[in-house]
Amino acid sequence: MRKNQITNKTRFLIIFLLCLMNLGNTFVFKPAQPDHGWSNGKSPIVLIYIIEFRDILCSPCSESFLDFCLSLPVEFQKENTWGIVVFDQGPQTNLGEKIIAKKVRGFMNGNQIHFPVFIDFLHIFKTLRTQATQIVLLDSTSFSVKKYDFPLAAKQKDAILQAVIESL
Amino acid sequence: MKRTLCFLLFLLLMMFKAASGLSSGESLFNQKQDGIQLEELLTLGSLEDDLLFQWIGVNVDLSGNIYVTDSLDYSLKKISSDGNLLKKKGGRGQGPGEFMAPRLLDASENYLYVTDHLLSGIQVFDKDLQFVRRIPIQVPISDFCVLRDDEIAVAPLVMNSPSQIFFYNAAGKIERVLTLGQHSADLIMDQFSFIFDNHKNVYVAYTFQDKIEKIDTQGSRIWSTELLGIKKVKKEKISGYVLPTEIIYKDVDLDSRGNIYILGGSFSANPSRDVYVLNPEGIQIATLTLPDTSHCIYIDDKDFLYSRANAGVTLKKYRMRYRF
Repeated sequence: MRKNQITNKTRFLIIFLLCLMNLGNTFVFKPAQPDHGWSNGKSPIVLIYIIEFRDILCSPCSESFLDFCLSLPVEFQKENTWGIVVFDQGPQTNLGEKIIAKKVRGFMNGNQIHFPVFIDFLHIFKTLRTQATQIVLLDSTSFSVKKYDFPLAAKQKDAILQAVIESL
Repeated sequence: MKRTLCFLLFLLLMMFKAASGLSSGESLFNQKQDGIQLEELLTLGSLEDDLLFQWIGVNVDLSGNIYVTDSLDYSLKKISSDGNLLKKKGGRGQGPGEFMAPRLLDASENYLYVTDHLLSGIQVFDKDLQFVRRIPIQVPISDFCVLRDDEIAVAPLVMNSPSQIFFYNAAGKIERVLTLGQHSADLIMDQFSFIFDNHKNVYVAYTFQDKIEKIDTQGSRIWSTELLGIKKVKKEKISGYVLPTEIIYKDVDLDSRGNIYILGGSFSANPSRDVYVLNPEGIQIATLTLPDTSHCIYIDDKDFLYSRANAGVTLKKYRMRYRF
């Protein structure tokens, strides 16, 4: 009888320890993954695209922008990139906003864009606008902000890509 | 006094009658002009779904399946006659069956032909949207029409050349050229949309000129007409070129009776909504107004009319009820 009780206690302890190990492995004791530190927001570089809505509607106009942003590593796009769609201020209806939202959704689906995109319905970013889609590069190591217009010159493209790659 | 009052009342009545007579005359005129009524049959693409994002080209087969090109998700879509997506092909790229900017769409009995704004040539798909081949055509295409699988009429988009239609065979070789008229001195002023009838006469609607023409197979003009009395269009300097920026006629199509439908552009009373209907002799017989602006019109074999709504996220199908 006593022997059986000890056996049961032992079994319980083993099962408990196994469960603890399993839980720990999943939720508590999992070590930090050092393999892609840049992908979980640790890169000091952040890219913000100010995307002209009319460029979304015009394939040749968005070609340069798409070629560039899709050339960046997917994880960098997911973690360190945002897009803000801006458009001309005018009489807006709910229908107009819904159309804009649907077209942006189509553009994202069609191009497999991995970064979050916001639509600036309140025209908060209007002072930043030029005639072109732009890229704003925020670099927390040098505390600098740089802005470029698409289509990028080869030198500009290389400089941004180099900054991104060095930050990974 | 009473007589004066009666006289004044009589005068007022006469004036009212005259006014109402005028308004009934106007309404009769409108009714005469509005000789075709549209009955909406089908709406494809709502503001919430993902069916259409910005459709450009449309074609309908004999079973009523609707094929569209969508420039925002780089696709060719097959939609059933009741509005369900049956198949979608494409994706952004330059490989077989991929698109960079899918645009015009036409069909033969067995195949679909798709142009791309950024890629040369015409891609051919079967009706299940399987890529078949690419016809190597080097010039950018402004409009085209598939007469047979081995005869494709193409209007090239060229900056400075006369209005011509090139007839390509299936291998992309030019078999013959149809010159439509005299060449304007100004850049792209000769751009046009066109459609062939069963006798291979071609109906031409000029994009930047107030001119609709019917040309026979030999290139002789059967008739020419202008509908809006527009002599000049606005031009702007774009990238160093002075180019027209206002469109007079956007598209042209035919119904089974041989009537010609021309979609008006900026100069129409209802811009991008008015469709002028001419009989085969070039006489205007009606004007119909689309409920929403459109970049094109398409009439299928059963005379259903298709046009755009909601800036391209919606395609509408109408039955046309003739009053003449």
